[in-house]
Amino acid sequence: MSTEPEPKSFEEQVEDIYQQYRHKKLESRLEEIAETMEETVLQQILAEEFLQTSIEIDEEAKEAVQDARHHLENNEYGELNSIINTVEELVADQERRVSNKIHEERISMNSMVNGMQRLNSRVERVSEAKIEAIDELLDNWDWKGHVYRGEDTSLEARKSHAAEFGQDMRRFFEEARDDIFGPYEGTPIEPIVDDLLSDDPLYLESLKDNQIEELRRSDLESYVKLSLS
Amino acid sequence: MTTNELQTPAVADARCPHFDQIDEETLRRLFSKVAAVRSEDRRLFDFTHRRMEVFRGTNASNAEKWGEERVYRLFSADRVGNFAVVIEGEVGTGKSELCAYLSHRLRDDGRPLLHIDKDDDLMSILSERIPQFYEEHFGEELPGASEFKQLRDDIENIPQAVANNATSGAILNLRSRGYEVSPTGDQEDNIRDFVRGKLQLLVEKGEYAREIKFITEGEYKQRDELQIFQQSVGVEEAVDAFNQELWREVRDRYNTASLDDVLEHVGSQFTNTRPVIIFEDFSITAMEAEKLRNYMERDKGSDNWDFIVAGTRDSTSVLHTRTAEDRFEFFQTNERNSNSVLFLDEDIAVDFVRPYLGYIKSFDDSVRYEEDDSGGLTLKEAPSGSICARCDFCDESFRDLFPFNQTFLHRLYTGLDESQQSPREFIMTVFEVLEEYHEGFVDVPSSASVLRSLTNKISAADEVYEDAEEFADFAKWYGTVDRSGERPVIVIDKRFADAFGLIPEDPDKLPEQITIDQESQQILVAESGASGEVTTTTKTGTTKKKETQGEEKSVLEQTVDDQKATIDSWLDSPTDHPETDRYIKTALRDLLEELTDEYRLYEGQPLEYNLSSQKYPFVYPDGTESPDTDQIVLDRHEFRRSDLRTLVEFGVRRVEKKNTADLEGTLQKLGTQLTDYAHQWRQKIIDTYLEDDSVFYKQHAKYDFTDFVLASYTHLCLLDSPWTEPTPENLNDQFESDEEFSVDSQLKKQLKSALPPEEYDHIESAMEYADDIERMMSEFLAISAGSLDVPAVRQRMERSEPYDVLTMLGRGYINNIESRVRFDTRKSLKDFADAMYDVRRELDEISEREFDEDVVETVSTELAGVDLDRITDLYEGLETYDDVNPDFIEELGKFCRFSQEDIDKSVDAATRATELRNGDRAEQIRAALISQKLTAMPVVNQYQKVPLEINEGGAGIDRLGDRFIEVSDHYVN
Repeated sequence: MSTEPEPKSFEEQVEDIYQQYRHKKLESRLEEIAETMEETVLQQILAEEFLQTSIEIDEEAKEAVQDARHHLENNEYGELNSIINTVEELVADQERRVSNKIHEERISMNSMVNGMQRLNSRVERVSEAKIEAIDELLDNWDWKGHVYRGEDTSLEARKSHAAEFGQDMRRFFEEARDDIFGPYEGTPIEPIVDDLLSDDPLYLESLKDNQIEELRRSDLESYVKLSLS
Repeated sequence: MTTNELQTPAVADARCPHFDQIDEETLRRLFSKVAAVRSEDRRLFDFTHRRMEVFRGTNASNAEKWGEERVYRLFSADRVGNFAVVIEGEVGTGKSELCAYLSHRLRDDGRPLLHIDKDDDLMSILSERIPQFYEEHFGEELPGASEFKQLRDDIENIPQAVANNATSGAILNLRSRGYEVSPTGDQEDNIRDFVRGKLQLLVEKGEYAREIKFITEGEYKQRDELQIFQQSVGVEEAVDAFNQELWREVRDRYNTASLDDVLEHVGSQFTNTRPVIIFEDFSITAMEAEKLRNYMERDKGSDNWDFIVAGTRDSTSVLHTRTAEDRFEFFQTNERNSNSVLFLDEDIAVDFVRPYLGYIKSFDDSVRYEEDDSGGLTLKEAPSGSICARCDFCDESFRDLFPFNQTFLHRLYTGLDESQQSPREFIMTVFEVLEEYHEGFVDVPSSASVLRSLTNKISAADEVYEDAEEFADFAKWYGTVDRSGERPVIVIDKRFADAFGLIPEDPDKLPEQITIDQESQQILVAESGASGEVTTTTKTGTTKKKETQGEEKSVLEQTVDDQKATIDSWLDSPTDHPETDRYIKTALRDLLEELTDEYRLYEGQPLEYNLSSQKYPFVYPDGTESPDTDQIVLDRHEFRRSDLRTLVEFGVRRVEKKNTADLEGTLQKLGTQLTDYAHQWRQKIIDTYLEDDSVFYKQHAKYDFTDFVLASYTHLCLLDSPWTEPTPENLNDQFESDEEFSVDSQLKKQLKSALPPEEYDHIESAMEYADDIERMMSEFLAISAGSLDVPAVRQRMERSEPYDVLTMLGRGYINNIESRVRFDTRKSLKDFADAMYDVRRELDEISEREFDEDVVETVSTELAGVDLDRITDLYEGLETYDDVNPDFIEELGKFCRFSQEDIDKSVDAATRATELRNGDRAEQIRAALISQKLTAMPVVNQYQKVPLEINEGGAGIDRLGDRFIEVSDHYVN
């Protein structure tokens, strides 16, 4: 024999509605946090592979995320609701930190790539497209399109994509650099080329005679104008 | 009869010694109405008779006036043929007196006189009077007298035999006359019995005189046994013939002659004189009267009777034939359409009665008169040794009149109504006063009750009536008014006051309005209005007094004085003094209206009785009208005369010039007595219109008006506050609060939609009376101005459950409630009772079909236990979410603006409604009303508006944060 469930009181019904909306909100926020965390993780991978930079997430953020997860797994939505603001903030902070770090590295690499582009415009030893791609990535940091692709939308897949992309771009960079600097390896101007690529100012008094002579005889001569002797 | 030791009036409370000497018999004879007394008692007659004058002819208008002497001279001994003097006049105008005078004179002349008085009938005349007369004069039995006697004896002793004989003979005679009469045996037996009865009536005095017919037309028509004639004979003819033959048989059998025959025979025996027959009060029966008249008026020289016939015009009408009017002498004693006579008027009234009073003192010659040519009397000096001479108390001006004086007698005559100023009436009134005094009913003749009906405008001051009423009457009748001084006074001879013991041992005990002047031996009594002050009441109610200037009196004041003077007469016969009666009644009505606060039934309460302005709230016990249901019996004799004078003054002023009437003063004087009447009137109205079995309730329900008030109040409170249980305590709370009564606003809304407009109107109509009913509650069931007697209310509610009381109201019984019982001009008690009757019916309907089960269920389950703070928290939480249903948020927000108390009350009400739902009808009504209010409660309505929804597409709890969990793994690790 089944019994009719007792009708809910008004309070209970409002409570239910409140819970529903709260869940919905939580879901939304958790989704946002998850997205932020995901991007952070993917950028971490990308930074490591491409920029050769390792960026760690703070323990505090990790703990907050762990707490949130704990409440979530235990359906402790009230508690979750009470810490989600903190989680949001911490995760956002970490995302900013990672972004900032990456941004620094990008700037550094970008100046070299710019030097390479200028050098390559003289020596034409590297594919312009490759250098362009690197340059674009460093400028826009528009990496999502290369990572969020394919039918597999899992994070693992995206991580894999991020690693692949980062590796590919690194390879392009290194190949480009090797192609551009290869001929100068073992020469007295090898140390000068790095400076030239980094667009650091070249001081005459810092040059040795043989470096200056080598420089005259190289294909960099027109690139480097000695204004003073 | 004399006494050696006289108690003179000079000794206080002593009476005139003559009155101690005189016996009752003599007094009665003196004042006897019976004319025969005066005819027989020569001394009495001679002493007291006053010369008379009458109008000659059949009409007093412009008629010649004849003195009694002249009338007497008509009876000449030498006249030939019968002669008649017919004396006509109203009762008491001297007919018998003139007859007595004539008979005395004729007796003196040696005439044989035969008196026939009013008790004589034809039978007694024929069988006794005439035979006796005859025998007296001729020393032998009148021929045929024995036959009359025999007839009389036979009728008395063997009436059936006489009847049998008369009946049989009459039938035979009728047949001889040609009538075809043939009664059956039974019929004839019945006729004989009938005739026997009639014969017996014949010998009974009075019956015989009135109607001589054996058979009347009415009897003939009604009695089958008498209808022995054939149908062609008319009733009148049959009756006449039957009577004639019956009489003929009686006479023939006894050989009795008719009156005229007998007179003729007797008269013929008087050869040297003319006998006189005197009919003092002519009432001979019709049949014989015509014959008698014919005898009287016939012109036959051998006839020699002198007739003196006295009677009223009605009784002598048979004598008014042309022949008789030519042959007889007719005289009228009174003027046309009046009882006034020529020999008695205001000027000679005292002299007229003087010898009657003097007669009492005449036995020892104390009083003797000398009569002049014109008939005037002069009192002779009392002879030495007589009682008067020895007493020496009286003044010659009143010695023969004592205990009256001239003023008294004169005023007494003028005080009689003009229609009653006949000699008899005057004499009898004097006698009645004398009798009351002589018998000791009054100490002073002026206090005699018979005087009350007389008009006497003399009136002592109010204070005299207040403190010395006997003196007021004394002055009124004995005193003369002297207006020559500063203030008018009534002057009375002190000796009278001494004689009647009016002056107390300490004269200072008399009111200051009575002054005893030892020097002049006079008593001065202030006349009415002589205080010199006139009290007026201004519009603001303050009284002002001003001195009157000398004898200046306004018309109003004069009216007041006149009416005060009429009080005694009015007291005796209000209908004879309609103006005074109107003033008194107006005064009493206005005072009762004041004491009852415009006919309110309870002190300080709105319920009133709208007495018709055409009506007084009382009738007199001796009046012709019985009291209506809204009138009490008010005995005017229960008021002192001083109070009545106060009343009449108040009444005059109220009618003629209202602002001069002293309401407060009058109430102060009469308040106690009138308050009692006011209370009686109120109680009558209450008993009749509020508590009677015929009003309000059907089937003689044992409920009273208080039950109705309480039941109504209870239900009105219920309509005002349907969620408040109508316990005695809660009723008291309502009673104590100052809040206006009205139908609860939520309930009103519901009832207006649930009931047809005309039915709802009953509820509003009833509610209009709520304040009035609440005030009635304070009358019946309050212990103080602000609180009910809760135990009393409880007791009454237990005994008379309010709903049951209303169910026992009956429409017909409500209609019996007089519409004049009302709260104000627009609100009658009847209408209210009708409204409550309808309200009860409507409540019954509501209880049957207007219990909102759904809302009760909803509130008691869904709203029960709601914590509004929690709901508000949830609401505030939901407000932060953007995608919440806006309608839901809005309505929930409105709901949160109510208070927890609002919710709790609604829940409690719903719970209570559920409990009451299965109770008795009264409880079911309450349940329905509670539910109706619930339905309209804003908090409930708002609750019902909140669109509670289930978010079906919302994130399932199970799937919340899947991605987060996945990502956090990588993030953390």
